[in-house]
Amino acid sequence: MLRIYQGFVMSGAILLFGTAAVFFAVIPGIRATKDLYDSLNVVKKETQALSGKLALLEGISEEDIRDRLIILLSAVTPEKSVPTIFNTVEGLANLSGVSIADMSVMSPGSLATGAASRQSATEKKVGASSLPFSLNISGTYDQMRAFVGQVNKVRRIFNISSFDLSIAPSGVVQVRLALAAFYQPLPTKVGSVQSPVSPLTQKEEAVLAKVIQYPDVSQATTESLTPLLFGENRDPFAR
Amino acid sequence: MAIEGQLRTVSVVLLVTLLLTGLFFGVGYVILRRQYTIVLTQKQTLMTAIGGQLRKEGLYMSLKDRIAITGRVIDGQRSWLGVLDLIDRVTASGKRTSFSVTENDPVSLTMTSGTLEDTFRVVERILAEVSNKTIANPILESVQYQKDGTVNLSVTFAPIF
Repeated sequence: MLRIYQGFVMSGAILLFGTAAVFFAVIPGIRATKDLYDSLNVVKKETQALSGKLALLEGISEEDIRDRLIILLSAVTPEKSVPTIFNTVEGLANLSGVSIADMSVMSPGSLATGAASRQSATEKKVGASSLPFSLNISGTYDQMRAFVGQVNKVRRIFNISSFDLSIAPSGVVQVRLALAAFYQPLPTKVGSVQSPVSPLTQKEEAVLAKVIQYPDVSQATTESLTPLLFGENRDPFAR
Repeated sequence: MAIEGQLRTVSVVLLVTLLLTGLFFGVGYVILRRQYTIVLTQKQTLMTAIGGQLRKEGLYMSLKDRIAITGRVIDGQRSWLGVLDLIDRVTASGKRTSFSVTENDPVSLTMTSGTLEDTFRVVERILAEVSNKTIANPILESVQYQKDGTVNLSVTFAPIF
């Protein structure tokens, strides 16, 4: 009897072993290989991105970035920098020929960054805090036009929110302007090493070129940038 | 006997298939593992190199951030000189006495004209600017005819930037 089924027993055992091997070895093995393949693709992409980032960073000079950043920091300062507002307005007045009757900065608050203050919707949209100030100027109509035309084209960037103009019978023009200057502290942290870095777009280059063209009519100097690094803290601007 | 033979064939085929599949995926796994280790080492090397450029990266990110902010500020600036040109065009020969311009409010303009005809011409010019879509919603606030023949005109309008 046993001899009759001996062939079946052997083949059945092989079949059983084979089926078990498919479920317990082959399928997990295929899954592990597929997972490894997926992980390899992910790491390849990350490596490619890192390679691009390194090439970009190595391709630009630190001095060049620093110089450009200093220019931009004189347009939108890292702190309120009230003196640069006064100096710029004074420089503008000299350029256009108007006389400054008075100038007042509204609620200057903290003389530093004012980072804790709540931002308005406009400030949130711009991504920077604004420091409103008002200005009374007088002069001829042409001088006033020159002032208004120039005020949007100087290094310390201002935004006129309103102006009232009255012309005396003598022809002297008096203007009351409401303006705003902008400031925003520098970011204190850079992203992780793996966070992507993209080259400057054409639009960004255009903004930079525009600001570089604007004359700096302020006499104030910008604080030199000497970021320091401490151990693991990825804070290039920590002091 | 025929069934036994078929069963044996099937079991042999299964064994061979298992062996070949195992060999294929086993070799594939070893190759992929080696590649993975190489790429991981490359990644580590790149990360170390980028870590060495931290100061430059910080400056560059700050530059990008500041460009974005400055761009938005510049985009928000309005051409007030354009509004002055518009007022100049509207008043032309008339004598401006005052005007007030606010970012979100209409321009309020007060002016004195030598004659009533000059005043009509100012209104015509305003209407022409409306046709050119440079002015919207013009409103005549007041017209005062003075004893000396001059006319004080007060209008408001919204300049279209």
